[in-house]
Amino acid sequence: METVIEKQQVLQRSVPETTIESLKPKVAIDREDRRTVGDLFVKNPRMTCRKVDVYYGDKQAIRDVSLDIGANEVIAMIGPSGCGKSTFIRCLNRMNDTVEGCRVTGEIRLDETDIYDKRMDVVPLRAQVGMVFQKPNPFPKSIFENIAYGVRIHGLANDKTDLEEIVQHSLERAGLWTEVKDRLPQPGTGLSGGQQQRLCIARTIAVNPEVILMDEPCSALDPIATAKIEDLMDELRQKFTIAIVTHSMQQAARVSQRTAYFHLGDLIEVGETDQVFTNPLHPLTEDYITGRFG
Amino acid sequence: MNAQLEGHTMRRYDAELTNAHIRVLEMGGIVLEQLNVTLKALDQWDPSRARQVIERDETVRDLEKMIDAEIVQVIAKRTPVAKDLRAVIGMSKVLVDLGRVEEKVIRVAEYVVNAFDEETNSPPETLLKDVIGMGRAVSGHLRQALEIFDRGDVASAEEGLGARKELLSWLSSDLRRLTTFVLEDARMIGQVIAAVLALNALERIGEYTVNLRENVIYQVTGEDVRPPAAHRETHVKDS
Repeated sequence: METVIEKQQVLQRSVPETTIESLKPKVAIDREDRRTVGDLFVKNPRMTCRKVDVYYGDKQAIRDVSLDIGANEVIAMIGPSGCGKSTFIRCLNRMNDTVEGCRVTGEIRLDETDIYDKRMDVVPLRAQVGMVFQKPNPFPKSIFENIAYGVRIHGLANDKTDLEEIVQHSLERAGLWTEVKDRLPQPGTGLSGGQQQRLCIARTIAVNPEVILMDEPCSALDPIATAKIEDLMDELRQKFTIAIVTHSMQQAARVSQRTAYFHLGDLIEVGETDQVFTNPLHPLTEDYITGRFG
Repeated sequence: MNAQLEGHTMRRYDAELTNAHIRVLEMGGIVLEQLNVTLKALDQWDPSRARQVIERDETVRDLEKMIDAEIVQVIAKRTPVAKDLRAVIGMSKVLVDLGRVEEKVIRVAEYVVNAFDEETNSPPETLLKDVIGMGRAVSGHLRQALEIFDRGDVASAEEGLGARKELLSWLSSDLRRLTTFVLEDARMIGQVIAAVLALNALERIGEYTVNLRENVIYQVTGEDVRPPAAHRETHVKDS
């Protein structure tokens, strides 16, 4: 009888043809086995990662991670501090290029484009794969300029009317327009924490990204502001793909369709969120999500 | 004790889950005792014992509500996931099934009270034998199912899944035999109907013990082994 691990190896060999199917373990998975289990690959990937290793100097932060990020899905990366989940999503728009001594090997593609190709210009890449950080970081400019700045430098507006339309549309999509439409010239830093974070999301979506990376976007926000961001993510997924790193298991369960669990640099399990939070395959995933992680 | 419930970083969570588990077992123990006292009352032609069972029903119902509230508290405070979620949902379902067992035990106890209301009307011993036999078998099933629930023992849980079919075939053969009483003496019909209702209640209790076993499998493995409706055993014959 074929075990999960054996089945997984088959999956890894037969990459894009693989269809998603439930991989129920026929045998118990050894706690020490660090090979990834679950549904790594999807039918409609927006980003594909194959055998990704990340090093900070001599230290390996991520080992042999292969994973698809599907179009119009929210995928949540969970795991204890230092497990490599933030490092991994920072690879997806080459944010790690800015870290001294950081080296990424393997292959990461956005659609069909290898984003680590030497000819790749990272400025448009970071527009295509935008990022929202833990702490809201609006520019020290007006609310309007916070959105307009990126649109201008990427040359996305033909004239002033066009620019105003993009600003309004982005703020509407971020659910912020009605709250700020009468104070667009005021500083973005004057907004509440939740509003600032939605401003950052509006800024990200103004430049037409395909993928939005969110690194603990709600950890500095109160529950109401968190609920607004989560609701927004649910809407944004209709047009964009979202990868979110979160320490809140409940948030991962609420907002994502797929969940990936990282542990000490290994991708341990990936699967449908519904399955991961009711019957995870790997004992390490179960320990972590049930609060048994030592 | 079911070790599946332990090992949380927050030890208070262990205590709350374990406490809920023990409380469900406590309810199981009381319901089992209710059943055994009822069977003893039947065996010894002692309606006063059966009356005690009926009087205790309110206390058992109160206990069920209290345990239910405790389980809700665990869900509200801990938002359990994965095996903890399955454990809590399983406990809740077992509690519901135990409540149903209690309901059926009361039916049997009422039968005992009515059957021996006037000594002259006492049912013949041969008729009682069927009810007592079924009762003892079901009591054994319930005790075993509670032990399996306590240990989270999937292998033993799987072994007893066939009990549903076994009890139904037992019930069918009892029904055939009881029919002969009526055929021999039509005046027995009232007593036979009462015995059939008691037998049916006991068979249902047997069914609930199988539910308990299915729940243990779900709690531990996440697998839902309840048979689809089309495959459920029934004594209604196809037309």
